[in-house]
Amino acid sequence: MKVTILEKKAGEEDELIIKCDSLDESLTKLINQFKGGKGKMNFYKDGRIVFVDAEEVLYFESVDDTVFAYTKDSVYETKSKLYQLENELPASIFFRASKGVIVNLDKIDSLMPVFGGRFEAVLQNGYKVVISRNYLNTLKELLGL
Amino acid sequence: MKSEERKELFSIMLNVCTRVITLIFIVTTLFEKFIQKQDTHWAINDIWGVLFIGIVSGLGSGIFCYLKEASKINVIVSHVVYFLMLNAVLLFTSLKLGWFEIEFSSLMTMESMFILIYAAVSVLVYMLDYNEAKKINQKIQDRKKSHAATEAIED
Repeated sequence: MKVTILEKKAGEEDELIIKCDSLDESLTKLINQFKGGKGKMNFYKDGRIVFVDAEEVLYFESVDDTVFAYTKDSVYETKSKLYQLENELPASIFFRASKGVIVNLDKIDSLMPVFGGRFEAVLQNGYKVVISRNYLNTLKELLGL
Repeated sequence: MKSEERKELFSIMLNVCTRVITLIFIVTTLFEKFIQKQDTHWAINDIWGVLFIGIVSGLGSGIFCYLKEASKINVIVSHVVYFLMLNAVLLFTSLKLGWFEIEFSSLMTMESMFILIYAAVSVLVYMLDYNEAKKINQKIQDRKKSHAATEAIED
């Protein structure tokens, strides 16, 4: 990879430009690390890169190998896999709720048992996410139960 | 399957097994005492029969452990299959041990008791889950209050 460092003009803001055909996993990770200090994650919406606060995300869901991030009023696509997100996101807030879902604990309004021995979390915007019994202990541990 | 999952599976199966056995004894004893107006006498074979039904119920409940990620429809279908399977096992065991006579009224009594026990176990399981959800909800509310207090201090 070619690295070019240009001198900026006086008063200009620092800028990082990435020139590539498409954002692969390593580049995505690099951007995440770069933006990490500001608590932002890079998502995609309508072909554009959008930076969103991790804390704004209600939950991440993997659908057919694509991971989506749901906020209160938008759905974004992310290049990261769920297991990568699990490692990158703060473990005190985000937890795995089922094989295909990571939930923001601070966005849960309430929990209800549902048919078949599973639980359903009602999120702040009314979305419902299934929490499987396998991962219920993780949630309980997070809450100190 | 991880060892934790195996432990959980075993614990769920054991719980269902013991609940079914206990409830069969309780419901049958109450039925004999207050409806049939007679004392219950359990022969060794009857006890083996009850244990067998309890074990099959416990093993069958293991199906749900593999359906945790399944859709609602799949969960409902598996519940129906589980119900029918238990019913078949009960009828087979009852016929073998002579718990009912081959006549309509006797069969209906047996079926009513089965449905009663099945419903009681389902309600018990739901109540336990409900209590667990209640504790978790309380913790979530406490966490929210604590976050709000921290934010107020920071402001």
